[in-house]
Amino acid sequence: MPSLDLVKLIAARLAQAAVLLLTLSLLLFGVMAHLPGDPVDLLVASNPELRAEDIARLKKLRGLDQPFPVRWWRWLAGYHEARTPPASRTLPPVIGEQDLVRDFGTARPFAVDVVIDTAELARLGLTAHAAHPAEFEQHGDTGHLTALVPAGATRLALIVTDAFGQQAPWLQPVYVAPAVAVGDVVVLLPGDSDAQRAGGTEDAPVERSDVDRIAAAIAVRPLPDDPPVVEIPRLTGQTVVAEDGDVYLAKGAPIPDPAKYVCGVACIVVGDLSGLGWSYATKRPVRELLFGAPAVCGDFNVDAGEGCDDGNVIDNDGCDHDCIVSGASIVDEFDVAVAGWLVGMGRIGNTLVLTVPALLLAMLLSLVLGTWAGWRRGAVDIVVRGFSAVTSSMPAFFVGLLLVTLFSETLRVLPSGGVFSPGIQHEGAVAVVVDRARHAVLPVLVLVLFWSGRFVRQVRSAVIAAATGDYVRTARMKGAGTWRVVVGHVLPNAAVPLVTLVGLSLPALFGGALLTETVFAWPGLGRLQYDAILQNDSYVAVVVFLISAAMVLLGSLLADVLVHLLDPRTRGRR
Amino acid sequence: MTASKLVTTAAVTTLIVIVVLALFADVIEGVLGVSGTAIDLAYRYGDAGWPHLLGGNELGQDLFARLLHGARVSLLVGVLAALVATTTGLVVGVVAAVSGGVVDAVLMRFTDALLALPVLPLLLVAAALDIGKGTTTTTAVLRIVLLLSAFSWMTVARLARAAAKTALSLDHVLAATALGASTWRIVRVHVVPLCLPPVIVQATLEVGGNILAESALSFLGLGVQPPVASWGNMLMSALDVLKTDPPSALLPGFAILLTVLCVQIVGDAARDRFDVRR
Repeated sequence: MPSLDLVKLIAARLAQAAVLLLTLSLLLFGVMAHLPGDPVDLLVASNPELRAEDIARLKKLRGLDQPFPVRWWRWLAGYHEARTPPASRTLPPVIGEQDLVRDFGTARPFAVDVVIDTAELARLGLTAHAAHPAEFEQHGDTGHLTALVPAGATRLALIVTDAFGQQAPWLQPVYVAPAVAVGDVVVLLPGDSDAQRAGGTEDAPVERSDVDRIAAAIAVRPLPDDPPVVEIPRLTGQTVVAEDGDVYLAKGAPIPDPAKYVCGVACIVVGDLSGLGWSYATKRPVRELLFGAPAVCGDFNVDAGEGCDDGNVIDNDGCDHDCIVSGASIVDEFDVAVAGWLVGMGRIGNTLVLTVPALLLAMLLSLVLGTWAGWRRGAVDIVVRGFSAVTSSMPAFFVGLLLVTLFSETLRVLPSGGVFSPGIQHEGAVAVVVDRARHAVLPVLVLVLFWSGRFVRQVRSAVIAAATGDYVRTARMKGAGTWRVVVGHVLPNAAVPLVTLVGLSLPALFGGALLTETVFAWPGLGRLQYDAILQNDSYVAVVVFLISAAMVLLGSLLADVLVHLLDPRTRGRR
Repeated sequence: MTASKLVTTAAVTTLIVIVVLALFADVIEGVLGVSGTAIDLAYRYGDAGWPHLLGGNELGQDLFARLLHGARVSLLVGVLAALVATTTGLVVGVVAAVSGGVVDAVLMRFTDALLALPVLPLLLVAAALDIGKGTTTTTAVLRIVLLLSAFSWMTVARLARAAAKTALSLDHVLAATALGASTWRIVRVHVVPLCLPPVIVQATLEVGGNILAESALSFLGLGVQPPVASWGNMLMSALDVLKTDPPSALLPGFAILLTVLCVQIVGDAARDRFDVRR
């Protein structure tokens, strides 16, 4: 039964938290703006061909020419995300890519001169990437791209992206259609409506002449105004090129992602999840970094083996699951999908995989040890206090390294770092889970050691304080056994400090593992924060910082609410 | 309890030995005729023996001498940062308690806001702002001291404020006020001395925390920068050779463990001594 007091408390604290987080985000934007070298500066340093007007245009396009309060406001309003084209990461699946994979390596590669003037692209801040086994070599002098294409392959895909890894809104995939002769290139240009939808035209209009200049160098085919729709939920909004060269638009209900709802106050405050911004360093949306991306075909390295006739057919989710062959066993579609999801987990998922078991284990361990030590005192107490003192006096990373040396290098029983073994997703969901668990053993062990060292001290002193109460003597006199006294009388009275402890360890779930993550090369939130700060990846740094701050605030609120509910003494007070 | 007294005595003795060794690092180097800074490629991973008590590291520097130099920086960072943080916290807490009203509210809201922030990310952002600065021992130490103390004075401020509030309501302080003593006199003679016990205990505990924090920052490449030795960056730079040359990686780690452990024991003993409830 929540009292009015409690409701008021929660409301007031949430309001405070919102104000604090908003202020903090503004301050962080200010700080990040003063870190040396913004993303465009870094780009200029690596590409001397950019002219001053191109730099200015790029900065304007990214909003980097604005003072930080404006950038902050735009980020809050989700402005940045609006200009991110829908197809940001995945290569539109080209039907028949299996041919390419199968033939590559066995056949003698031959060169195709893809006539793209890379100098012209670079001047515009664009680069071309090959996302397929066909390797591209860029000849800086001639300004041409050369593709090594497997013999017999007639199809080839490459993506033109801008400097930030986003597909240029007006340049869709370059595609060598099967009907086109080797050396011919087709650019699919979105219609005018697409260009408008992609943004980037309001204050920095894409100059038609830019498009024309590139178009002059390559064969251009416009995207149909109203392309037919295919049902491929995972690729919603992307252009899909079918085997016969027809162009489709992928559509379908987005797959709900449960991880999305674990975000917390930070997301509520900064608004919709989609407005988290863009990571310059990794060239992916911040949201995708945090929560992971749904698996796409490219993650699977589809290997169409023997007896796999339908390898060339796009099934309804855009992936050729049916025929993924791993060794001798054919793994079923669902299994691989789950495995892919596990492997492609975002940073938050990775961190929680580490911290949730560690926190639960540490709490259990410290509850048992602390109660034991606080109740019995004597030798147990000395050992427990010694354990607590030693763990709180050691750098966590040092212990992590000792464990790595012992278990990974000397005994060779556990992996030394990383989240999973490469290629494990082909073995199915069970194998992935086992593999991930093996990788998590050492980091979880480190965290358990450190957290239980800290918790056990609190449990012990809470139990000692509770054990001196009159109710213990009374219970003893009434003939209660030790077990009954401890569980029935001492622990309930020691509960308040312990509950506070639970609340205060909530932030540790998200950010408490930076050092451990670093030692074990674990791509979690802490590591993301560190990388983002060092690479001046401002949106990522700000968002992760806000998440950890929100967790601190939420944790102390949770502790206060629990104490309020548990301890009648705190209720009457104002 | 004699056992805990024994432990405390041992801890104090160990700390004194470490401090003396650190203070006389140069003298000890001179007497032994070794160097913790000069690179001697002929003596890479050299064996321990006389006069190289612990052998050499990956650059042929004498490990023992280098440990002593590291001790100097680490202890200096720990103690100085604790001093700066404690002084700041004491001033903020006492000013808040004595002024009351708006000043109190503003100062304490600010303190609470800072306390509510995650410390390690804050340190990272702040350290990234001025990385690369501090190439001499003095500037390197100063940089870390400022960084660490900037985010650790809040606990002291709250302790000091609580103690000062209590002091202000004591009868003899009220009497002094009634007799017309100036605010400055009351603060100086009555309030600050009463705030000192909890503040000193907290300061002791923070020394250990600071040494650990410095090693963590060094591990992330944001702490004291390499030409200057600290236990943190010694540990960091020896990590690659953990398997081939265990001593140079293990010794700084155990030095940190020993020192922080002793500091904590002393801090706990101080708390027990000052704690009137026991």
